[in-house]
Amino acid sequence: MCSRESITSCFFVVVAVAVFWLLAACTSSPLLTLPVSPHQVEGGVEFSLVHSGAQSVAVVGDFNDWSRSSHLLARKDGDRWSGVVPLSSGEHVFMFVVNGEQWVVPPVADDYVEDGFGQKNGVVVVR
Amino acid sequence: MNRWQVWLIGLVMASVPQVSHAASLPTKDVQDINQLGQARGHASESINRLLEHAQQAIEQGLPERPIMNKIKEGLAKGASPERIQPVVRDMVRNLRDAREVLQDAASGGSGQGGTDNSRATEVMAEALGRGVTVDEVRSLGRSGGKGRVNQETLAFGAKGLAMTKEAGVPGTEGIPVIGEALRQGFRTNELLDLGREIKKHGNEFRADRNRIQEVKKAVERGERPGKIFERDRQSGSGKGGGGRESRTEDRESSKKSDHERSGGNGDRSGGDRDRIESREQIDRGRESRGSSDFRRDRGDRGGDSSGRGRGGRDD
Repeated sequence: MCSRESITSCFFVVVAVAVFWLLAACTSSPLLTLPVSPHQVEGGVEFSLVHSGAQSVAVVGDFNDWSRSSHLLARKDGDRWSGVVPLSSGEHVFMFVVNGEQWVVPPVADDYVEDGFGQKNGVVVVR
Repeated sequence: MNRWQVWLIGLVMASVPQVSHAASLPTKDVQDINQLGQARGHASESINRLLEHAQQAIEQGLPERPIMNKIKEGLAKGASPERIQPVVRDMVRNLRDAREVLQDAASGGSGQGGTDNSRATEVMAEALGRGVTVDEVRSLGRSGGKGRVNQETLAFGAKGLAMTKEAGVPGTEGIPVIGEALRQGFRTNELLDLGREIKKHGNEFRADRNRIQEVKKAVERGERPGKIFERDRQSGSGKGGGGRESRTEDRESSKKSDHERSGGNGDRSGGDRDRIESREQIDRGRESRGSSDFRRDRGDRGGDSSGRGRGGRDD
């Protein structure tokens, strides 16, 4: 027979787990949507951005003449967008453009540099 | 010679200066910039004034690529030509200073290899733009040892020094470290890695002035950046924010430098991988699509496609 104390503690554990998953699923919880640094994958560098309310996300940089239409990311789970860009070895500066207008400083990058126009460019190092 | 022939020769001669002027800058880049400017509603005169800076660079034998790229970046980001003007003017000045300091180093100072090297010039100009002074570069060249550094390693060393300064380490303390790295024969990518790791661990260096000495001793032992900072990686330290953008930290350390930012490798976990279809490729009507074509396309313009405008390729 289960004691009253063990039933109570089980109940609290179940409730805690349920609350955790509800929060994680219903909000843009950082637990599930940690920003990911650009990283090398087969065929290039994978760029990712988590941005709520985005209808489109593009990665722009010195590798595509800062074109907002050249490299559009694909929507993944929830608010996460990602895509692979073929890049040669060396350093590349980049930013994200959300909904074709909003320039977003990368939340994670190998380095950051001033762009001269009051913002920061992310730097990705390709080996 | 009849009247028509004279008229024809006159017409050709009149057009020569215009043609040579236009041919100096890459036509595709000029077209792109003009299109960007028009799309943003800027007068062609103000765009031409921007292009004059790139033209100046070419006339002085300087690489125009970083300037063209910066103009494109500024226009794409919605900056007015008036706002872009001082930025590209500074770039031209930095490129000029970079070439001078590299030539000095090669001719009699610390360096070797007197050939013009646009990649070294671009990297050195970036270092100067990020806060390294010409005097510090000269000092770095001396610190690296006479005859040990060439133009390229000096330029990458200067860029590494720029990062250490961005970490809040004073130039006087950063020069001996990077200088020792030059003495130890660090490759260009190792010089950048060293500067980047110091910047990434900026908090440690600002909190403990002896930390930079520890790094110098490790460099003297011949250790490379991967090993020097291995302990921090294993222990999960790296107090510079692990590559996350940290504006607070920025503000604190900007007392010493204008370019504070923590850097580093963050979470590198994988995810779904989708190759992005390059619309540029489609627009340009290339028959074959794919990454190799895209890469070739970049290479067509500047040889080295990496770090366009940054001279960032490293070995």
